Amino acid sequence: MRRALAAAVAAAIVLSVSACTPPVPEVSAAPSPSAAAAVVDAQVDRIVPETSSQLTAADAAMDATLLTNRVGGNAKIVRAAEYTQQKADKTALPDVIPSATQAVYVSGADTWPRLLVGVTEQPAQDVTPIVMQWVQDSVSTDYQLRGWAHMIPGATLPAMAGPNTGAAQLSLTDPDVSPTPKVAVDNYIKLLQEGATSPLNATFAPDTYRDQLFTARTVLTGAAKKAGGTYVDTISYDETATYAMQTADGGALVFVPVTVLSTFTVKNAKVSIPAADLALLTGPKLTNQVVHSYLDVVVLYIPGPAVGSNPGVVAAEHNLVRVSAK
Amino acid sequence: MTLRTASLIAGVLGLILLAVGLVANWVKPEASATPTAQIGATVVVIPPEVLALSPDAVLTISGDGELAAHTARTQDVAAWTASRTAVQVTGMSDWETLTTTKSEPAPSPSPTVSPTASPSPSGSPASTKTPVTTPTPATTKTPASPAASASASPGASPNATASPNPTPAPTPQGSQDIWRATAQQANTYTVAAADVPVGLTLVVESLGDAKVSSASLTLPRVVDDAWIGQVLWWGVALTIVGLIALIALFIDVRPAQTKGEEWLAYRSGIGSGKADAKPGSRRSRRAHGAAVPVAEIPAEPTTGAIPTVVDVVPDEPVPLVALSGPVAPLPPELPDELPDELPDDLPDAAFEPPADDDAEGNRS
Repeated sequence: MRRALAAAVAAAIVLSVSACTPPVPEVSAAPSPSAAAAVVDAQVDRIVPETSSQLTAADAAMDATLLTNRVGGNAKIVRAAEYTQQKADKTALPDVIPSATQAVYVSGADTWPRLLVGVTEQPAQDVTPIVMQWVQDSVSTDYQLRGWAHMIPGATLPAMAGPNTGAAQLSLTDPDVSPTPKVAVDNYIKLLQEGATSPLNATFAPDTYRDQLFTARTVLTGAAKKAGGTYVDTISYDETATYAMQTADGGALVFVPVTVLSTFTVKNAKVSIPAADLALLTGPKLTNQVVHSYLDVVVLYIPGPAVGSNPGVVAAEHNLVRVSAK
Repeated sequence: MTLRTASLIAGVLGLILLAVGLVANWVKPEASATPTAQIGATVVVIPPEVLALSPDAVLTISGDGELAAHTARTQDVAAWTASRTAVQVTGMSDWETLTTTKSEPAPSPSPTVSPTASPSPSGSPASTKTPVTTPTPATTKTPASPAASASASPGASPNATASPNPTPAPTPQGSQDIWRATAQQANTYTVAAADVPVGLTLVVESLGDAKVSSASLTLPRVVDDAWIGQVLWWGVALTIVGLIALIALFIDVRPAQTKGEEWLAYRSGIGSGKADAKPGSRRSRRAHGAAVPVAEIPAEPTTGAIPTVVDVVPDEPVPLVALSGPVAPLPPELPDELPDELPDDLPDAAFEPPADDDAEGNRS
């Protein structure tokens, strides 16, 4: 009897205590972040000022080795060339890159490399704003400034998704963009190669970048002919370093690193170049030929299907980085 | 079943309820739980779904040395931890234990890391400088150099930096760009789950050589213990009833009961007239017809002599001390013999006899 009573009491306690213990909460689906972009303002506020600090320090010392984690790739090569020219010619100042940005475009990518694009304030009254392009190659590396380009006068950068989602990074063959970024870039490079008479000229919006390139080609070709020589420029782009971001209208903004090799050859004469360019001379002394190597940045806007206009260059920069005799 | 037996059974039930209530109150779960997990790694990852277990949860990460906490997108953290040994908190197995999974860095596909390290971004500028310092060997190479370097350098720099297996540098020396926010605390890092932005993963890493020792999540739980109080009160009440019955079991109350019954019978006998009332009691006196006591009230006292005015009344009014009341002035002169009939214009004398306390008392 006593044992039964004790057992009943124990059972009552166990049952009652277990009845008042709530079930263990189980994890459910992860909530979505309010800002799903790869980079939000807090990160931009670290990346952009650190880039500006490195540029400022390097500019003051005219030393490109001070450009470390925040400035690299073509941007570092271009800046180093500018410092070299500045040392040879005090009037050849590097591009002024304002530290203040008026717009930042962030990527929504989950993979690497990732893009970050900023548009600076106007550096001067008669100078257009600069489009800056950062690239993060992997999760363990910093966003690094890889290129910058002044906006084409009159051009407008298209709207892109904000930090809530971030702009999608597109592959160069994305079929949702027409023409695809690869086709558009290939055509534009071909247009640059063929000149103003190319049938592709009508398929792109007018821009001062190719106008200047064609003008220079005409002038240099004429000058070379006068000296019995030739002028040839070779234009190509690096597809592996070309990136495309989706715009709000369903189009794409494509960042293209363009290489231009200008070979100027004369007969029975010697070529001479300005002191600032001569500072970039590598190799033997100049004789009857000079080759200028440029690392350009072209920002190409491919409008969305509803816009109905031709692709066009919205920003471009022509950067001399090397001079050689051959 | 007598009342006493029922009370005893109630008492036993009360004791059982009391025992159940007390034990349940003693062993009932606390209003908050702190499930814990041992980490034993330099990095611990708390995904957003774990932080969303309770908005009132408080996360505590313990370790030796400096701890750095970061928030980032879940996919970014996954990429970051791919090259590190990390422990991820996945949930709760019970109210005392956090479940975890440990991830090891993916094996390197090729042990030769040197090729990726050598063509650093400084390679291209160096190539522009070398011809200046060493023109001789460059002479033969420079024809190819512009094309090579120009086409290679743009491609070289991304390839160089995008090394397939970047050495996981000990943060915070490594890249911090994926972190939305970062904080550092020594030995123990505590953060409320509500303070971590929704949807972001929390990463806590030990910056020194020491490892993160444990992770715990303190979160409230709703314990259904309202019934315990009711059981206790019922147990107390029934136990008291049983206790009274038990005491009554050991004490012989029959003499007192007899006494009481006798008294009741006696009283009812008197009330019904079968017995005489207690001598001297009111009931007895009423029964014997005792007269109502009559108070002897003395006759009213006679008044004193009427005072007479012997002097002329001065112009100035003299304060009179009323001994027994106001005195009315007498007629100017009374004849020796009063006429048979008094005149009609005699003033009324206002006089009242003085109050007599004794008389008053007798009257009552």
